[in-house]
Amino acid sequence: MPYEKTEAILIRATDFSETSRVFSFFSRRFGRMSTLAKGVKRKSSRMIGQVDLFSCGEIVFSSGWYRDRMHILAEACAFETFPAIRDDMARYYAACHAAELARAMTEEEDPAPDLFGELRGLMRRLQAGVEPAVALLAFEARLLLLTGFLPELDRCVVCRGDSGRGPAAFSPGLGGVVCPDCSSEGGDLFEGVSTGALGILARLAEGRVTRLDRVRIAPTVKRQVRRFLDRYEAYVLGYPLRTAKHL
Amino acid sequence: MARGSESIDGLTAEFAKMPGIGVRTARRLAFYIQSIGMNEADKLIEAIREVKARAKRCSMCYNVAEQDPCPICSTGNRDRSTVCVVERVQDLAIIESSGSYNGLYHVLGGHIAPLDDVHPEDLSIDLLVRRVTEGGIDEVIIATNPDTEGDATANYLVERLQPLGVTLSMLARGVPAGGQIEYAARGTVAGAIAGRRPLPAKAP
Repeated sequence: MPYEKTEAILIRATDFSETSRVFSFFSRRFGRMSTLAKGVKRKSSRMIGQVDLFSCGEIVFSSGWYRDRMHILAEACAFETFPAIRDDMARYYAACHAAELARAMTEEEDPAPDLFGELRGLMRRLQAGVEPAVALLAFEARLLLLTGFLPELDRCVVCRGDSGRGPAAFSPGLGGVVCPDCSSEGGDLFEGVSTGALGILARLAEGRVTRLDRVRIAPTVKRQVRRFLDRYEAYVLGYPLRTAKHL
Repeated sequence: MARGSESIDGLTAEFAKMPGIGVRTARRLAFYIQSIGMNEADKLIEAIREVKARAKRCSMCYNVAEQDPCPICSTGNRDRSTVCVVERVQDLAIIESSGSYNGLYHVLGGHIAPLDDVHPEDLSIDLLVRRVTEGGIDEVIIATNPDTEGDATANYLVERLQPLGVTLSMLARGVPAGGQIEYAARGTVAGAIAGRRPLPAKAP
């Protein structure tokens, strides 16, 4: 049976049997993928200590399918383990949210090397001490852009006019900001989203902010962006994320 | 599914709901039940009834026992000033079988794992905080699993318990006895280096 090798981040681990576990990875070459790690809970397993939630490393797996659902994990070697994430609840919850989002917003085995890079970048930033809320907002903005779900943030989606003319409303159905003149056509609107908050999201999505450790966002604006993203992500997915309540 | 006995299929389906048991194992168990005598089957039924009727959570430590408080909490010959916090009852049993600990326990019922919809309020953390607040406990040993979720749970416990002025400690971690450094993971070696201990001075 042919074997494949890729760099991957573990985004979920669930028990499969007394000694085996199912590991969901976000990999550089194959995107999100599920593998069965047979006997990984045994004391003699070579993978003990090599595969842990959010750790990044190289995995080798057989490319055949087990019960039509997953590959068999043959080997794993962790390069980076990000211990700071486990030492701080804000970092831990941010990493959990990113993992849940990456899992929910992508298809199984749809290669997304850029998104893999963003996820690993988030883990590195959390490890380096960047404020978890800011690092997560930047990751989510990039994820929305890379998955094609980033809404129109700088001009009205109805009249294409400048959205900065007045208090913004956001129409998830139309996929963007609606100016005050067109707000009657927006359907269900998210009220109370400032143009400043959406502007920050747009800048983070473009990836122009290179030094996130130097970014300072006013707490009220940060709350607005957070609340907006929680609602928008729930709208896109059709359900709220489990990890959202901790952010 | 029914090609033979519907009752075998029904029992197979029930066994297959159990953790770690797939359909093939479930079917093997179902056929085993069919093959044993009525007496044996009655004993099994009675054992299941007994567990359901008598085994319950201890109101103090969340251990599973037939009396409340459980035998560990109610006995007089244990160190009542030390509490060892574990994720599951199985972990308690392993520590107890090591014979190296004579204090009390507290079973959390799992670890904080938002990805699996397990949040702090789903665990018996408030009960632990109440135990410590009531006094009489000098040290809490946090014995969660040494993985990301276990460490995050330990970190949350530290946040909740530190203000109460109790001594907090964690299980040592590193290269296992009988293991070899060559095959240890980086994190394991890092833990062993960080948690190294001075050797006792030898008499000249």
